[in-house]
Amino acid sequence: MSKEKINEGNPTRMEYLLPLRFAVGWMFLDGGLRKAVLRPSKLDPNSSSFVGGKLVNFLPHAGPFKPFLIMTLENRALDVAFLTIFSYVEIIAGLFIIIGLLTRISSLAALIMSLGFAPAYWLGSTCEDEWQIGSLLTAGAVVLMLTASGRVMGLDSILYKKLGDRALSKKVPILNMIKLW
Amino acid sequence: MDKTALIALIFTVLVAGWILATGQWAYGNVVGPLVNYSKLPKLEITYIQASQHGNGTLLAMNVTDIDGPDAYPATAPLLEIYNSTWHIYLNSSQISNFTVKVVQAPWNENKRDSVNWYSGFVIPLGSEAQFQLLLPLKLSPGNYTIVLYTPGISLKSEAMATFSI
Repeated sequence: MSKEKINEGNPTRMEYLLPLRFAVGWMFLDGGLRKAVLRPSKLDPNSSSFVGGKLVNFLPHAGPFKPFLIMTLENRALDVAFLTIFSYVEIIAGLFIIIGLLTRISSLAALIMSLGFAPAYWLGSTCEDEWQIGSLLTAGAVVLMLTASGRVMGLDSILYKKLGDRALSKKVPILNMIKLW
Repeated sequence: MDKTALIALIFTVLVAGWILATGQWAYGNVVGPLVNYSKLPKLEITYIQASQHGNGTLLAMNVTDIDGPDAYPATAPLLEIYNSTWHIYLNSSQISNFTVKVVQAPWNENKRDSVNWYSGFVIPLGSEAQFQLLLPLKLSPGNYTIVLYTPGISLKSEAMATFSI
């Protein structure tokens, strides 16, 4: 029996990833828009709304991340630069995941950001808020990193039809085994 | 094993490991004990020194908030100093009036520690400052205990430290 026949009628199709793409993408897009566009004072170090101050709240139980947080907090320029870059990466990665453009690379960025929430995982005055958010985003980002957009319902499908199969890199080992879309 | 299944298994193990490890680290939700550090505030006195200053006493203490919600700061509207034979309470107005200087930790950013007459000490989660109080009373040489009372938490969780003059 051929492999095609075994999978024939398999109802698990990549189109079903779209709700996950929207959810993961929107979490980052919304987070970035709030800071960089809707309320820019959040990125203004002279404003009381400056989101850099939130890093202070992570300190008490940040564990191995504490030295990095203190270094960032004590260097205002680094803090502002880090948060500004983070916000714009959130916007770009979130938007790209939703529209299915360079979904695999965007999901890798989403995964790194999800893991980066770890110093805040212990914050959860209602329940286990930050840890649950971080865990679900981590799992969602990993799934999308593995499947990408599935070459359906996204700009990656257009690029695939136009440009065909492309590896992340033709020369670098391992990267040449990973598809761009 | 099919390559795709192997990759799926590897990433499942990595994701599950991350979730379980961080869940245990943050909340003890795998093998316990269950904790949630962001429920109730907990102030901590990390340094304290007292010296006689004219007819008064200069008290310098570093205070930080190590537990509790991040949405609003912890407060200590009541301070007690005592030894085996004597004690005094300072209310929030007195704490505010007797505080002559607040030295912020360099990482405090826009979340700054402060005092005011209705809350006493005000300390956002994770921030730290040195509060210098000039008490209008001359403590005689000896050992003392100081307690900062935060509303709504148990007595054993209140910030406590000892100092000598």
